[in-house]
Amino acid sequence: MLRILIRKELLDNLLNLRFIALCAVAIILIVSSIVVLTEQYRIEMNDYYNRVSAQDTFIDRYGHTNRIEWMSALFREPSRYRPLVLGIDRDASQENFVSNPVPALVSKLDLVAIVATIMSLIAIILSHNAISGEREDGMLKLMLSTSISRSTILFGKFIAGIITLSVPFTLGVLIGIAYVSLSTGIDFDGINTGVVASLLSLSYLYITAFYALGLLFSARSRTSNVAILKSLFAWVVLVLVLPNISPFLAAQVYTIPSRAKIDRELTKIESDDRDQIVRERTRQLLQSEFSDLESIQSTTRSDLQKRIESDASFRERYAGYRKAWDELVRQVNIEQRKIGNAIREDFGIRSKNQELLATTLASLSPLSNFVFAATDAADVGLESDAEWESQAGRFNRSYAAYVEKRYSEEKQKNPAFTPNDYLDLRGRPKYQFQPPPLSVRFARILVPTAILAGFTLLFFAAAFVSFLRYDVR
Amino acid sequence: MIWLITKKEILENLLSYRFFILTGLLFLLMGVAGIVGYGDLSQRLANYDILRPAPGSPNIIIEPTPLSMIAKGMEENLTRLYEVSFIGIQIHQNQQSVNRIFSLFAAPDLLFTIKVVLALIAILFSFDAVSHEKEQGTLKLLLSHGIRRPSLIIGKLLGRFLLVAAPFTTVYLLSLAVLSLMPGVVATADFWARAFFILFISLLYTLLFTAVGLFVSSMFHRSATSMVLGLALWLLFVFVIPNFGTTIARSISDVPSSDRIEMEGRLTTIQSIFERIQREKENPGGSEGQRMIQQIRESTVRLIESYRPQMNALVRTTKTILRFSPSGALHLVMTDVTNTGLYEESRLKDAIIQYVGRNFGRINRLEKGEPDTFQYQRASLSEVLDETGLVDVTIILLFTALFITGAYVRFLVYDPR
Repeated sequence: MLRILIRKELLDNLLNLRFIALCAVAIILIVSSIVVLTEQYRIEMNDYYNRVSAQDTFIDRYGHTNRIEWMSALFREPSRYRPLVLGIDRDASQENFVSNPVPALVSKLDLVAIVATIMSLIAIILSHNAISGEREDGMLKLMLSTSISRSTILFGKFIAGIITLSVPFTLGVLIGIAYVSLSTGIDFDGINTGVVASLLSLSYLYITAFYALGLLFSARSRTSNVAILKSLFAWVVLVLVLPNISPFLAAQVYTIPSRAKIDRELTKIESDDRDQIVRERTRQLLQSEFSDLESIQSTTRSDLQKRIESDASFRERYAGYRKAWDELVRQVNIEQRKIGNAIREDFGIRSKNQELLATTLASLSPLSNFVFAATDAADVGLESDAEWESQAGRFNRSYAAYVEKRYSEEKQKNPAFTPNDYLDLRGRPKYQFQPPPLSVRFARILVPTAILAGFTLLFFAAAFVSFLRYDVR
Repeated sequence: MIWLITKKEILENLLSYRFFILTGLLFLLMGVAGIVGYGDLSQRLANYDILRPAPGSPNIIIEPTPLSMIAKGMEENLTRLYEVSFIGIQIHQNQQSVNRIFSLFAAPDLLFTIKVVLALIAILFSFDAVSHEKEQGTLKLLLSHGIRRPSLIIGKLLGRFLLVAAPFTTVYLLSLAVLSLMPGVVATADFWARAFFILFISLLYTLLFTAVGLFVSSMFHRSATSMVLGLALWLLFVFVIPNFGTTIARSISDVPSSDRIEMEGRLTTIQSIFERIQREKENPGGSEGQRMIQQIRESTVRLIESYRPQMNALVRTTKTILRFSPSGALHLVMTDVTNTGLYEESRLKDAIIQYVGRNFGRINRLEKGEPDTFQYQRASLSEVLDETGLVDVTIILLFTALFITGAYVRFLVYDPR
């Protein structure tokens, strides 16, 4: 019985011009967005390789210990899933003076955005009149008078709707992926297949949630006109409002000092205050232990130099003082850095909390969960950012250690070697981003996926209950 | 006769479920947009107070504008601190951590509400104006009473438009009045002039989408079909053309990335410093420091001067593509009028480049004297309109005329049976 019903619904949908048109539009959009973004990915990769090789050539020619961090900035390789998922848009934060201003103003259209806004709207349009529309036609009364159970009818509509939506969608994505792999040579095997499969499953889950939402409002309305109004209201709130206001609300509910304020405070503690304390303690040192040397504060540098050269006992005494003073400065630095680090740590924790609040608020919408999971599956989300930062940090430490080692080697060979002299760094470690294995990705996207699945189940269960009590007259 | 029909349309819908739910949605969203916009502005003002450079410092920061509560645009980027030194102009990253989430979703300001939701509401109010009456048979009845078709369609357009426009205008003015009284917001005459200009554009935009709804309504005989086409047009104008347009513009123009330019500048700077040190070893006591600063200056200027025209061309291409959609044009004109848009961005950067050019010697102590204070006034309303805004307004007007004509013509040949 269920199969007959599904067939009937499928035929209904397929013979309907509106949905053929909408699905054609969806396929065209998906394919063209993937094609255009592939082109952009190619440009980005080219640019990335150019930057890396220019920087490498530079270090080979001009490498020296001072400014080494400045000349070896680590670049993040564009994710190979960029044709499908753009993720967090680094361009929008405009880090350079000459940055392209447009991304800060208008967002881009990738597969995730198409699914999140357009496919969900199509799902609602498809399902809003599934029940109320059939009641208006009188079909529902007719069907129920033959002994088909209500749950069979609802499941039939549900399954048929999902098939209608997912077939053209999958077709579009597969054509797009075929294009990507033909034109860029990325093989879609192993880990890439896993990523694409999880992107597809997430999209199905998300589209199903909105199809169930449409069914729910259809089963709670007498006419399909009212049903579409209610569904669109819910759609606007879930898709356009909740995700967007969540970071703003979080920023205003849980306020943290701005980065600028923290930076200013840190400068004060770690340089102004430090200098003050060093001056103070130097005076104390000269008054207590080295009271015989108190006069050196007022002698000029050249006089001091002369006296050191001529007077052997003074030289020894002075060396002792210098040692004590170095120790003092080291101590003050450690103390002040400790205070500074406490502030840094506190700021880090507070920022994390704020971000957590924002993501939690956003999780009230299926869209945010879908976006979080899809972007993290494709290495361009919030968790992947943290992963990249920790990988980059590890690499930078090993890189610094290598430079340090090379420097001391040169210094041993030639005592006059300075940090400003050319240092041969040709054996330096090269950075290679390690894409996380599938298991890590699955663990990352588990929570948002579970919440998304929860939404889908909730909407469907509510639709089911509402339909059981629906007055078909 | 037109007024009679307008009145009928209004009364028919005023007490409907639809009016209730859509107006409620509008009120809710505009309220949220106002609260969020104000909170956001206060944070920027607080930041500005902290970062404002002491007199004599060459660093640059401009004051946040209260108009950013209406359209946030690029205000976040515009009001950052620009640090000027011999290595060039650096941007201070003072953003909050939730910014990573901001960049996943669009900002829910008034502009977003108007561009996306108001347009949707206008379509939802008018998509059944003709086709639903046909389904019910009242259209046949009306036309048999000697009502002329032109008056009927114009009356319907006005009636449905007023149903959206009146509540919108009320809540828009109300929320601006409240916002202007909040502490930290300085609402000058200029503020109100721009606010009213934005109201005018928004009403025009509402009229346009009402006409789109009427057009799709007189295309089909079933209101469900009209609605699907209406929603499709809405998606096309609001999401597809603007967002896809920027993507296309980026991939058809062959402009190197700004990261690339930044890296080139950085590496040339290091090279100059390195070579200076080597030269000083051979020739101690020369004026190598000044020579280095000059060298760095020349190469940065050359880099920026060759890059900015390319970037401006890319921005122009993007703007052209955005203008294929009335929503894209609305986005451009509203951010420009609130001084948070592309025009202001390039104007500010030009001003900074000129300032640094004039004061470079004094900032880096190559010449005697203090650098000037950076003076900057954001573009006036008339300047914005002359330079870029009128084009966008014209485009919205053209789209409106197009769809009104379309609805009119389609209705004249509509079969009411």
